[in-house]
Amino acid sequence: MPSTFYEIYRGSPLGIALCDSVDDYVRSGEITEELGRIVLAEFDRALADAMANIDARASIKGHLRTYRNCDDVWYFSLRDATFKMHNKQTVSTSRVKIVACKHGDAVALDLGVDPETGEVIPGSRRGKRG
Amino acid sequence: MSSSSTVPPDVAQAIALIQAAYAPPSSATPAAIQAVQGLQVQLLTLQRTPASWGLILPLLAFPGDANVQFFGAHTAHAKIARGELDSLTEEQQIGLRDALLEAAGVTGRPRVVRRKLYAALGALALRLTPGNGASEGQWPGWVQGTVEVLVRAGEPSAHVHEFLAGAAEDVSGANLLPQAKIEMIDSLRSAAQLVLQSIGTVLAASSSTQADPDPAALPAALACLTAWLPAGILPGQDIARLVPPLIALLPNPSSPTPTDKIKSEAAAITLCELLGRPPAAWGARVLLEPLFVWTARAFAFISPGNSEDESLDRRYSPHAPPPDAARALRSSSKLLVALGEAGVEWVAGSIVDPTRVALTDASVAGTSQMGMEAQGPTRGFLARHFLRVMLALTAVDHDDEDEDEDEEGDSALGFWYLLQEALWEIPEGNEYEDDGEDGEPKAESPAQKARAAHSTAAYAALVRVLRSKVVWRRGWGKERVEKFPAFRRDVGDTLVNAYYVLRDDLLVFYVADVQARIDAGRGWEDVEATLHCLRAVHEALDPDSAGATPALSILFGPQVFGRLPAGYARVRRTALGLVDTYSGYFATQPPAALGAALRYVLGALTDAEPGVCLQAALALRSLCDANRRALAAQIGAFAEVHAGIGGVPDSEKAKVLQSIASVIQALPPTEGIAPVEALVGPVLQRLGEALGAAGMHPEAAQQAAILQLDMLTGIAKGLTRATDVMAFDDDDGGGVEGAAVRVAREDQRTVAIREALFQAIARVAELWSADAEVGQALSELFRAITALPADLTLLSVPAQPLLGVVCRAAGRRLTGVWLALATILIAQLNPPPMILALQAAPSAEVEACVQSAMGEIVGSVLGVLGAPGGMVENPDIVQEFFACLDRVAQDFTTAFCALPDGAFDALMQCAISALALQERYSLVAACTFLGTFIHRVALYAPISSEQLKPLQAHMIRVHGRAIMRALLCGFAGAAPRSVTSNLLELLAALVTRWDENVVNEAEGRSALGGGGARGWVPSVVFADDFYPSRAGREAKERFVKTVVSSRSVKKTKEAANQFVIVAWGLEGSSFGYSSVSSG
Repeated sequence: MPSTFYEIYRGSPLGIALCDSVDDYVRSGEITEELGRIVLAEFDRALADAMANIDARASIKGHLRTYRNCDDVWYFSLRDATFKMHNKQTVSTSRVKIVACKHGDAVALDLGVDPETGEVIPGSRRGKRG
Repeated sequence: MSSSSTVPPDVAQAIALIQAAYAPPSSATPAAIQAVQGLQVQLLTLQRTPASWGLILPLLAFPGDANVQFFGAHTAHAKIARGELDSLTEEQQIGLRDALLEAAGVTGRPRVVRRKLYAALGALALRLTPGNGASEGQWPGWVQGTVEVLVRAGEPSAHVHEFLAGAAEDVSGANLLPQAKIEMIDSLRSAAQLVLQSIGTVLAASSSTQADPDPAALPAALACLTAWLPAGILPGQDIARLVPPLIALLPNPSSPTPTDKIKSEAAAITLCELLGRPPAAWGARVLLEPLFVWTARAFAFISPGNSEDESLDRRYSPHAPPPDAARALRSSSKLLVALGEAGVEWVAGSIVDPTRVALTDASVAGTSQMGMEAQGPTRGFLARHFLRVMLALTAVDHDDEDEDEDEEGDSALGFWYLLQEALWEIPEGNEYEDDGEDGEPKAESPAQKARAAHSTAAYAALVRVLRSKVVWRRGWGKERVEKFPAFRRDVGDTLVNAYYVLRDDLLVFYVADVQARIDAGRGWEDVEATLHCLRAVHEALDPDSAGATPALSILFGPQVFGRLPAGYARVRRTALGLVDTYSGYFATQPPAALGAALRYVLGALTDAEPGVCLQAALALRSLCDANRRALAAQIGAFAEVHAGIGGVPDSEKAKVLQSIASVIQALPPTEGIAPVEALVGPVLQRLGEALGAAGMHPEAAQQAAILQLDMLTGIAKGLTRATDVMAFDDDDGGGVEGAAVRVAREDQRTVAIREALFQAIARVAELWSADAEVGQALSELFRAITALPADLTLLSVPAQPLLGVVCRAAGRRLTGVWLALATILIAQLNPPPMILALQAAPSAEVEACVQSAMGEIVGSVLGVLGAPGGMVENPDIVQEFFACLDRVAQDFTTAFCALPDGAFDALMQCAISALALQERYSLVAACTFLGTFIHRVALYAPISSEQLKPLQAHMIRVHGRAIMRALLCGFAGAAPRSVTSNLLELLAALVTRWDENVVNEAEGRSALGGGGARGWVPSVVFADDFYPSRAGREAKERFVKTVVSSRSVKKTKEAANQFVIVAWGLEGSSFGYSSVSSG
């Protein structure tokens, strides 16, 4: 089953740790692959919900090298970026890639299946801000 | 229906178990809870047995107990969903289908049982409907068939729609193969007309004036429609026919009959869904225009009478709607916001459009009362009216303190953001009266001018509304207070959009507003709100043009900043934040412009309120940093600030010192020596006192030392130039300014300061080498006082002696902090050149320093990690250690050659062991180090025949196979799967750098053959003691064959990746690919 939420948070430290743990359980036969998939899909949903409710803000300054937008997912590649957090803390980095997408359930709403090919057709509904 | 007395014993036993498990608990004692849990386990166990198929129908037929019936339906659903259906023969499956259908046809079941039963039918359809290759499925027309059974049994339409909604949801959420998915969607499509017809019938009945016999019918029908929309199989033109009756159900003030609240809410929810995902072929006439007509009719009180004749400003002028109107707006806010989101482009493009819209049946009623002509209002009228409605909604939004959270609508703020974007995106096409010459700006058409006038008037009204929304009110409840900052921030975002439309007019309005309120002596809350609005729009201001805005000079002059209400912490914090935000603006003004703001900030530094003091320190820091040169002329005044620093709370002293230091930095370096001495001297003295008191009062001394270290860090940061180092173009020494700093550094006074600073650091590191807090403070200080040559300050200390201090501290007590600091300092010792052509090798002195440091660090670390369990128990040390080694491998590769006898081999064994760690950061660090080291040694070996070439040969001979073995075991499962990408990089380093020639030469073989590092793979993989995995001999052979025969790194990596999947037993499963995460 394709996850109806973005899977980008699986690459976070928390997501990586969860994937590794689920891998171990599946390998040892303690849980089925199906359940493993459900756990990861639930993680995708929970993270998308949690991120949507975060109030923290940061402003970013840097040199924009490249950007692109595909299926409402934006990629920004920045050099010499400075993040100014809401609490005045600043963090600088020489390179950073930002992936921005609308709230996760937008994927679920937009999922359709092409009757000819059976492939998932991404929708084009306007997303929420942020 | 059977009674409990006639049921077979096994069924009776199951019923008794269910009734006991579902019975209300007699007590909440642990024993009672345990007993219930025991019963639940028994039920689950029972449910998993093949015999439980036989329980389903008797349980569903059990009269009078909903729990028993529910468990029967639940058992059917759970067994089917779990895939236990395969245990039944084809005939039994058909029998089960018919039995469940018959059970679904029994009327009068409780809702929970009914829904579970529908879920079981849906699950069964997902397994029986798709065909198996050539053969057809076992349940064609399952939707129609089930509906027929339900209708024949006399189930009300609400129940039928409940089933239909569940059917669509089950299919869209099912995990099916593509072909099966297509077949299921086809099965839904074949029932589409039935569904639409059924919904249309209920809708027509609900729209009639006659009393509705079943109030649940309409919500269920509309919920069904909402469930079927995402599948995209209901024809758009058929759904369009449902729109007029849906709009007719919305609140209609002009209707003689009162609106049914349940019906209107259900209709509004459905219309919101349709607005969110309208069928592709729908134009604005199908849904948007009828809804705008409804809005104009339902909220006619927003623009009563002949408001179109008024001036634009008055027409959009906000006024508080009466309570009834506010309630009406709030109750429809979700629909209005959804309409605004979906129709924003229509609104932006239609503001001055004179075209009349066609009225539908639903929208005709009531148009005469609002002054609309019989042939329909113009688009421009509808768009402008909608703007006023949204203004009114914004004005009442979030107003009601006691608002039920569930009823809270979406915020109207988002509409203004979308509208501003839509206004900018209107194509300029045919609206120009004349084309103009090439390259010359074209004249605005009357339509464009009119649109601009309307949008400006609307946003001017909006900024007035929003200002009133961010006024702090005394007496708010806790929840309201907690939500207020987030709401204010959202309002601030909307103001930015308003600024893009209004530009300087917005600043002029707010500055005049705050001035008028101060003149009138209005409450501080109103003044504070306006200051907040001014602060919020700063990010949109163009820094080049902001300086020319007269409004800002009034704001920061004596007219406003000199007369702000005193004694209110909230006003002071906001005003200080405003200065902080606009600190860069003063750099574009004459120095005198700083006066009022600077006085305000300095006056707040010693405020008793912690929040005010913090904000003042932050504002001062930003102000001084951005206006160094202007403030350097007033250095005497800053001496007074320094003299009074005793009154500033400890937590803010570092910021104040940083502010003063940043002003000192703007002085000629030789003139800055005395002020720096005056700043640093007392801090070092207090640090010395803390060190002296460590024996008597260790905790207090440690806290005092950390405070002084923070202050030193602040001073060092302040002294660092604000200018971008990339701006220097003559050399990497900082140009003329850099030369002046270097001269000043030779002054005996600065030499003495740095010497004292270094001694203090060395003593702190010696005394508190095990303390994490001190380590963190030192880490910050090191970052501030070590710099690139271009960034040298009077306080900068060379990295070499500091590295010695760190190594000695690590020797006394090894922590990750010291290793991280060593990494930073080693990187400082080989700084990147500003110009690539200037790249020079590190000096012999620096090389020797790093070699010595390496010896000490490796010795200390191996002592800790070599102990049993040392690597597992100290993951932070492992990670920082290999990160440090990676840095050395990159910049000082030959330093590894100078390690004492045996230390290098121990180091390599440590790295190899780390490849099997389960803590991924340690493993990744070790992997990265080994990859870098192999690459660097191979790269420099040809030009370092005396040092690196023998080292490479030694590595290949002694450790080569062990590295390969650890790597392949990692692929086989010894390492977590998330580090596969890191292991693949290491494999790529091995096979590319240690090719046949290199390995043969290292092993003293003159003949060709062996395959280099690739040649080690078969012996490792087929060894008896290789890591046990799911990869059989065939998979291993496939992997080995690709690795040995391929010369392509890409193919080697692909083969290794596939081997990982096989070894983990995930071949042929989508889980293996879907769960893999990048490392």
